[in-house]
Amino acid sequence: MLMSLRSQLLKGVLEGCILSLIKREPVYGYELSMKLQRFGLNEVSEGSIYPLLLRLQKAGLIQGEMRDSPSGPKRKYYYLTESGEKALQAFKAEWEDIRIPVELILRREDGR
Amino acid sequence: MKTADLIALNNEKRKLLNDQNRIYYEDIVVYIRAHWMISQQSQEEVLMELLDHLIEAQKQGKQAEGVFGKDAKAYCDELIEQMMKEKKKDALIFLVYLAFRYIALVFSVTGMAELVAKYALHRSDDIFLGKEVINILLGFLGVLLGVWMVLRLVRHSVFGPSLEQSRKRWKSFVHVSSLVIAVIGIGVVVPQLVPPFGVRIEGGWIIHLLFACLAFLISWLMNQRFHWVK
Repeated sequence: MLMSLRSQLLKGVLEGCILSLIKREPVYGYELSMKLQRFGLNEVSEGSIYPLLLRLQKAGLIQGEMRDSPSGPKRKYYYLTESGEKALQAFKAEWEDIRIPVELILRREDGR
Repeated sequence: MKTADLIALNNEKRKLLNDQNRIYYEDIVVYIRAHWMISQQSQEEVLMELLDHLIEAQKQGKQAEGVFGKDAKAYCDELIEQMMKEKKKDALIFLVYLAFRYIALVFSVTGMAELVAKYALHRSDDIFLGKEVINILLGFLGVLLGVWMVLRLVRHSVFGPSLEQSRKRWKSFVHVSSLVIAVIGIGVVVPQLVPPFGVRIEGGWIIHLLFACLAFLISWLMNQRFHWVK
Protein backbone atom coordinates (compact mmCIF):
# COMPACT_ATOMS: atom_id res chain seq x y z
CA MET A 1 0.00 0.00 0.00
CA LEU A 2 2.78 2.37 0.99
CA MET A 3 4.83 1.35 -2.04
CA SER A 4 1.91 1.86 -4.36
CA LEU A 5 1.24 5.33 -2.91
CA ARG A 6 4.90 6.17 -3.38
CA SER A 7 4.99 4.97 -6.96
CA GLN A 8 1.70 6.74 -7.70
CA LEU A 9 3.17 9.96 -6.38
CA LEU A 10 6.36 9.51 -8.39
CA LYS A 11 4.39 8.77 -11.55
CA GLY A 12 2.29 11.89 -11.11
CA VAL A 13 5.35 14.06 -10.54
CA LEU A 14 7.16 12.48 -13.48
CA GLU A 15 4.21 13.11 -15.77
CA GLY A 16 4.20 16.76 -14.75
CA CYS A 17 7.92 17.00 -15.52
CA ILE A 18 7.45 15.32 -18.89
CA LEU A 19 4.68 17.74 -19.85
CA SER A 20 6.87 20.66 -18.84
CA LEU A 21 9.86 19.42 -20.85
CA ILE A 22 7.71 18.76 -23.92
CA LYS A 23 6.23 22.25 -23.63
CA ARG A 24 9.69 23.79 -23.96
CA GLU A 25 10.31 21.95 -27.20
CA PRO A 26 9.05 18.79 -28.93
CA VAL A 27 11.26 15.82 -28.02
CA TYR A 28 11.59 12.14 -28.89
CA GLY A 29 11.82 9.36 -26.31
CA TYR A 30 15.56 9.01 -25.88
CA GLU A 31 16.07 12.77 -25.82
CA LEU A 32 13.41 13.10 -23.13
CA SER A 33 14.98 10.48 -20.87
CA MET A 34 18.38 12.18 -21.22
CA LYS A 35 16.87 15.52 -20.26
CA LEU A 36 15.23 14.04 -17.16
CA GLN A 37 18.57 12.59 -16.13
CA ARG A 38 20.40 15.82 -16.78
CA PHE A 39 18.04 17.52 -14.34
CA GLY A 40 19.06 14.95 -11.74
CA LEU A 41 16.26 12.40 -11.94
CA ASN A 42 18.78 9.56 -12.16
CA GLU A 43 16.69 7.17 -10.12
CA VAL A 44 14.09 7.02 -12.86
CA SER A 45 14.95 4.08 -15.13
CA GLU A 46 15.12 5.21 -18.75
CA GLY A 47 12.47 2.84 -20.04
CA SER A 48 9.84 3.95 -17.55
CA ILE A 49 9.03 7.04 -19.61
CA TYR A 50 7.39 4.96 -22.38
CA PRO A 51 4.37 3.70 -20.43
CA LEU A 52 3.90 7.29 -19.24
CA LEU A 53 4.17 8.69 -22.77
CA LEU A 54 1.53 6.18 -23.89
CA ARG A 55 -0.76 7.17 -21.05
CA LEU A 56 -0.36 10.88 -21.77
CA GLN A 57 -1.08 10.19 -25.44
CA LYS A 58 -4.18 8.18 -24.62
CA ALA A 59 -5.39 11.00 -22.38
CA GLY A 60 -4.87 13.41 -25.29
CA LEU A 61 -2.34 15.55 -23.40
CA ILE A 62 0.46 14.97 -25.90
CA GLN A 63 0.62 13.94 -29.53
CA GLY A 64 3.26 11.97 -31.36
CA GLU A 65 4.40 12.63 -34.90
CA MET A 66 7.06 10.95 -37.04
CA ARG A 67 9.60 13.52 -38.14
CA ASP A 68 13.17 13.60 -39.41
CA SER A 69 15.65 14.06 -36.59
CA PRO A 70 18.89 16.08 -36.86
CA SER A 71 20.87 12.84 -36.46
CA GLY A 72 19.18 11.31 -39.49
CA PRO A 73 16.50 8.66 -38.91
CA LYS A 74 12.80 9.42 -38.51
CA ARG A 75 11.77 9.67 -34.87
CA LYS A 76 8.51 10.05 -33.04
CA TYR A 77 8.45 13.57 -31.64
CA TYR A 78 5.97 14.53 -28.94
CA TYR A 79 4.04 17.80 -28.85
CA LEU A 80 1.89 19.29 -26.12
CA THR A 81 -1.81 19.54 -27.01
CA GLU A 82 -4.17 22.20 -25.76
CA SER A 83 -5.51 19.94 -23.00
CA GLY A 84 -1.90 19.06 -22.22
CA GLU A 85 -1.24 22.73 -21.64
CA LYS A 86 -4.17 22.90 -19.23
CA ALA A 87 -3.03 19.73 -17.44
CA LEU A 88 0.44 21.24 -17.02
CA GLN A 89 -1.02 24.40 -15.43
CA ALA A 90 -3.13 22.24 -13.11
CA PHE A 91 -0.08 20.18 -12.16
CA LYS A 92 1.95 23.29 -11.37
CA ALA A 93 -0.80 24.57 -9.07
CA GLU A 94 -1.12 21.18 -7.33
CA TRP A 95 2.63 20.91 -6.96
CA GLU A 96 2.82 24.29 -5.23
CA ASP A 97 0.02 23.21 -2.89
CA ILE A 98 2.07 20.19 -1.85
CA ARG A 99 5.58 21.59 -2.03
CA ILE A 100 5.14 24.46 0.42
CA PRO A 101 3.56 22.53 3.32
CA VAL A 102 5.94 19.59 2.82
CA GLU A 103 8.97 21.86 2.94
CA LEU A 104 7.62 23.58 6.03
CA ILE A 105 7.13 20.28 7.81
CA LEU A 106 10.58 19.00 6.91
CA ARG A 107 12.27 22.25 7.99
CA ARG A 108 10.55 22.19 11.40
CA GLU A 109 11.88 18.69 11.93
CA ASP A 110 15.41 19.88 11.23
CA GLY A 111 15.13 22.76 13.68
CA ARG A 112 13.98 20.60 16.57
CA MET B 1 4.36 5.44 -41.43
CA LYS B 2 2.44 2.32 -42.41
CA THR B 3 2.58 -0.73 -40.17
CA ALA B 4 4.26 -2.90 -42.81
CA ASP B 5 6.99 -0.26 -43.33
CA LEU B 6 7.60 -0.03 -39.59
CA ILE B 7 7.99 -3.82 -39.39
CA ALA B 8 10.44 -3.86 -42.28
CA LEU B 9 12.45 -1.02 -40.74
CA ASN B 10 12.41 -2.78 -37.38
CA ASN B 11 13.86 -5.94 -38.94
CA GLU B 12 16.60 -3.87 -40.54
CA LYS B 13 17.50 -1.77 -37.49
CA ARG B 14 17.47 -4.74 -35.11
CA LYS B 15 20.71 -5.91 -36.71
CA LEU B 16 22.50 -3.00 -35.00
CA LEU B 17 21.95 -4.56 -31.55
CA ASN B 18 24.56 -6.75 -29.92
CA ASP B 19 23.60 -10.35 -29.12
CA GLN B 20 22.61 -9.76 -25.51
CA ASN B 21 20.46 -6.74 -26.24
CA ARG B 22 18.93 -8.36 -29.30
CA ILE B 23 17.78 -11.40 -27.33
CA TYR B 24 16.23 -9.17 -24.68
CA TYR B 25 14.55 -6.95 -27.27
CA GLU B 26 13.24 -9.78 -29.45
CA ASP B 27 11.42 -11.30 -26.49
CA ILE B 28 9.68 -7.96 -26.08
CA VAL B 29 8.77 -7.90 -29.78
CA VAL B 30 7.29 -11.40 -29.72
CA TYR B 31 5.38 -10.77 -26.50
CA ILE B 32 3.85 -7.48 -27.59
CA ARG B 33 2.95 -8.68 -31.08
CA ALA B 34 1.19 -11.70 -29.57
CA HIS B 35 -1.42 -9.36 -28.06
CA TRP B 36 -3.81 -9.36 -31.01
CA MET B 37 -6.39 -7.08 -29.42
CA ILE B 38 -3.90 -4.21 -29.37
CA SER B 39 -3.80 -2.04 -32.49
CA GLN B 40 -0.94 -3.21 -34.70
CA GLN B 41 0.06 0.34 -35.59
CA SER B 42 0.30 1.22 -31.92
CA GLN B 43 2.38 -1.92 -31.27
CA GLU B 44 4.84 -1.19 -34.03
CA GLU B 45 5.26 2.47 -33.13
CA VAL B 46 6.14 1.61 -29.55
CA LEU B 47 8.45 -1.22 -30.61
CA MET B 48 10.28 1.18 -32.92
CA GLU B 49 10.68 3.75 -30.13
CA LEU B 50 12.07 1.12 -27.77
CA LEU B 51 14.46 -0.09 -30.47
CA ASP B 52 15.69 3.43 -31.24
CA HIS B 53 16.21 4.01 -27.54
CA LEU B 54 18.08 0.75 -27.06
CA ILE B 55 20.37 1.46 -30.04
CA GLU B 56 21.26 4.87 -28.58
CA ALA B 57 21.76 3.38 -25.11
CA GLN B 58 23.98 0.64 -26.54
CA LYS B 59 26.23 3.31 -28.05
CA GLN B 60 26.71 4.60 -24.49
CA GLY B 61 27.66 1.08 -23.39
CA LYS B 62 24.38 0.38 -21.59
CA GLN B 63 22.56 -2.96 -21.36
CA ALA B 64 18.88 -3.53 -22.13
CA GLU B 65 18.30 -4.68 -18.55
CA GLY B 66 19.51 -1.35 -17.27
CA VAL B 67 17.23 0.55 -19.63
CA PHE B 68 13.97 -1.41 -19.37
CA GLY B 69 14.49 -3.23 -16.08
CA LYS B 70 15.17 -6.82 -15.08
CA ASP B 71 11.55 -7.89 -15.38
CA ALA B 72 10.81 -7.47 -19.10
CA LYS B 73 7.36 -9.06 -18.83
CA ALA B 74 6.21 -6.64 -16.13
CA TYR B 75 7.54 -3.76 -18.22
CA CYS B 76 5.66 -4.98 -21.33
CA ASP B 77 2.45 -5.44 -19.35
CA GLU B 78 2.74 -1.83 -18.21
CA LEU B 79 3.09 -0.72 -21.85
CA ILE B 80 0.25 -2.92 -23.08
CA GLU B 81 -2.09 -1.55 -20.44
CA GLN B 82 -1.66 1.90 -21.99
CA MET B 83 -1.76 0.96 -25.67
CA MET B 84 -4.62 1.66 -28.04
CA LYS B 85 -7.04 -1.22 -28.42
CA GLU B 86 -7.82 -2.35 -31.95
CA LYS B 87 -11.07 -0.88 -33.22
CA LYS B 88 -13.77 -3.55 -33.58
CA LYS B 89 -14.31 -2.65 -37.24
CA ASP B 90 -10.60 -2.97 -38.08
CA ALA B 91 -10.39 -6.31 -36.32
CA LEU B 92 -13.43 -7.55 -38.26
CA ILE B 93 -11.99 -6.49 -41.63
CA PHE B 94 -8.77 -8.31 -40.77
CA LEU B 95 -10.77 -11.44 -39.93
CA VAL B 96 -12.48 -11.27 -43.32
CA TYR B 97 -9.05 -10.97 -44.92
CA LEU B 98 -7.85 -14.06 -43.04
CA ALA B 99 -10.98 -15.90 -44.14
CA PHE B 100 -10.29 -15.21 -47.83
CA ARG B 101 -6.65 -16.16 -47.38
CA TYR B 102 -7.72 -19.43 -45.80
CA ILE B 103 -10.29 -20.18 -48.52
CA ALA B 104 -7.71 -19.46 -51.24
CA LEU B 105 -5.26 -21.89 -49.66
CA VAL B 106 -7.71 -24.71 -48.98
CA PHE B 107 -9.44 -24.51 -52.36
CA SER B 108 -6.25 -24.42 -54.38
CA VAL B 109 -5.08 -27.59 -52.59
CA THR B 110 -8.41 -29.44 -52.82
CA GLY B 111 -8.90 -28.27 -56.42
CA MET B 112 -5.53 -29.72 -57.45
CA ALA B 113 -6.16 -32.94 -55.52
CA GLU B 114 -9.54 -33.37 -57.19
CA LEU B 115 -8.05 -32.73 -60.60
CA VAL B 116 -5.55 -35.53 -60.03
CA ALA B 117 -8.21 -37.79 -58.47
CA LYS B 118 -10.56 -37.30 -61.38
CA TYR B 119 -8.19 -37.91 -64.29
CA ALA B 120 -5.63 -40.21 -62.70
CA LEU B 121 -7.86 -42.24 -60.40
CA HIS B 122 -11.17 -41.69 -62.22
CA ARG B 123 -12.96 -40.63 -59.04
CA SER B 124 -16.01 -38.42 -58.95
CA ASP B 125 -15.30 -34.80 -58.00
CA ASP B 126 -18.90 -33.70 -57.61
CA ILE B 127 -19.49 -31.29 -54.75
CA PHE B 128 -22.55 -30.52 -52.67
CA LEU B 129 -23.12 -26.86 -51.97
CA GLY B 130 -24.56 -27.28 -48.45
CA LYS B 131 -21.68 -29.45 -47.27
CA GLU B 132 -19.18 -27.07 -48.88
CA VAL B 133 -20.48 -24.03 -47.00
CA ILE B 134 -20.53 -25.86 -43.66
CA ASN B 135 -17.00 -27.15 -44.20
CA ILE B 136 -15.64 -23.71 -45.07
CA LEU B 137 -17.16 -22.25 -41.92
CA LEU B 138 -15.82 -25.11 -39.80
CA GLY B 139 -12.37 -24.81 -41.34
CA PHE B 140 -12.31 -21.08 -40.69
CA LEU B 141 -13.39 -21.60 -37.10
CA GLY B 142 -10.59 -24.15 -36.70
CA VAL B 143 -8.02 -21.70 -38.08
CA LEU B 144 -9.18 -18.89 -35.79
CA LEU B 145 -9.08 -21.17 -32.79
CA GLY B 146 -5.60 -22.35 -33.80
CA VAL B 147 -4.26 -18.80 -34.22
CA TRP B 148 -5.78 -17.73 -30.92
CA MET B 149 -4.27 -20.76 -29.21
CA VAL B 150 -0.78 -20.18 -30.57
CA LEU B 151 -0.82 -16.48 -29.62
CA ARG B 152 -2.01 -17.36 -26.14
CA LEU B 153 0.75 -19.92 -25.79
CA VAL B 154 3.35 -17.36 -26.93
CA ARG B 155 2.12 -14.79 -24.43
CA HIS B 156 2.45 -17.30 -21.64
CA SER B 157 5.79 -18.78 -22.57
CA VAL B 158 7.99 -16.10 -24.15
CA PHE B 159 9.68 -14.95 -20.94
CA GLY B 160 10.06 -18.46 -19.58
CA PRO B 161 8.14 -19.91 -16.67
CA SER B 162 8.89 -18.70 -13.18
CA LEU B 163 9.25 -21.30 -10.43
CA GLU B 164 5.65 -20.90 -9.39
CA GLN B 165 4.38 -21.12 -12.95
CA SER B 166 6.39 -24.22 -13.75
CA ARG B 167 4.48 -26.10 -11.05
CA LYS B 168 1.40 -25.37 -13.08
CA ARG B 169 3.04 -26.70 -16.20
CA TRP B 170 1.09 -29.95 -16.34
CA LYS B 171 -2.06 -27.85 -16.20
CA SER B 172 -1.10 -25.80 -19.24
CA PHE B 173 -0.05 -29.00 -20.99
CA VAL B 174 -3.57 -30.37 -20.53
CA HIS B 175 -4.98 -27.05 -21.74
CA VAL B 176 -2.87 -27.00 -24.87
CA SER B 177 -3.49 -30.63 -25.78
CA SER B 178 -7.23 -30.32 -25.43
CA LEU B 179 -7.16 -27.21 -27.62
CA VAL B 180 -5.10 -28.95 -30.29
CA ILE B 181 -7.61 -31.80 -30.31
CA ALA B 182 -10.47 -29.30 -30.56
CA VAL B 183 -8.83 -27.44 -33.49
CA ILE B 184 -8.12 -30.63 -35.45
CA GLY B 185 -11.58 -31.93 -34.60
CA ILE B 186 -13.37 -28.82 -35.82
CA GLY B 187 -11.20 -28.15 -38.86
CA VAL B 188 -10.56 -31.68 -40.13
CA VAL B 189 -12.58 -34.45 -38.48
CA VAL B 190 -16.05 -32.91 -38.25
CA PRO B 191 -16.10 -31.86 -41.95
CA GLN B 192 -15.61 -35.54 -42.90
CA LEU B 193 -18.71 -36.44 -40.92
CA VAL B 194 -20.96 -33.83 -42.51
CA PRO B 195 -23.32 -35.70 -44.84
CA PRO B 196 -23.50 -34.43 -48.45
CA PHE B 197 -26.49 -32.16 -48.88
CA GLY B 198 -27.54 -29.15 -50.95
CA VAL B 199 -27.24 -28.56 -54.69
CA ARG B 200 -25.00 -31.07 -56.46
CA ILE B 201 -22.37 -29.51 -58.76
CA GLU B 202 -20.34 -31.54 -61.23
CA GLY B 203 -16.71 -30.72 -61.96
CA GLY B 204 -15.74 -29.68 -58.44
CA TRP B 205 -12.09 -29.08 -59.25
CA ILE B 206 -12.79 -26.21 -61.65
CA ILE B 207 -15.14 -24.58 -59.15
CA HIS B 208 -12.63 -24.96 -56.34
CA LEU B 209 -9.75 -23.52 -58.36
CA LEU B 210 -11.92 -20.64 -59.54
CA PHE B 211 -12.95 -19.88 -55.97
CA ALA B 212 -9.32 -20.08 -54.91
CA CYS B 213 -8.32 -17.50 -57.54
CA LEU B 214 -11.21 -15.24 -56.60
CA ALA B 215 -10.48 -15.46 -52.88
CA PHE B 216 -6.80 -14.80 -53.49
CA LEU B 217 -7.63 -11.77 -55.65
CA ILE B 218 -9.94 -10.32 -53.00
CA SER B 219 -7.40 -10.84 -50.21
CA TRP B 220 -4.70 -9.28 -52.41
CA LEU B 221 -6.87 -6.23 -53.09
CA MET B 222 -7.66 -5.91 -49.38
CA ASN B 223 -3.96 -5.94 -48.55
CA GLN B 224 -3.31 -3.30 -51.21
CA ARG B 225 -5.80 -1.12 -49.40
CA PHE B 226 -4.84 -1.80 -45.77
CA HIS B 227 -1.15 -2.84 -45.99
CA TRP B 228 -1.11 -5.60 -43.37
CA VAL B 229 1.72 -7.53 -44.96
CA LYS B 230 4.43 -6.53 -47.40
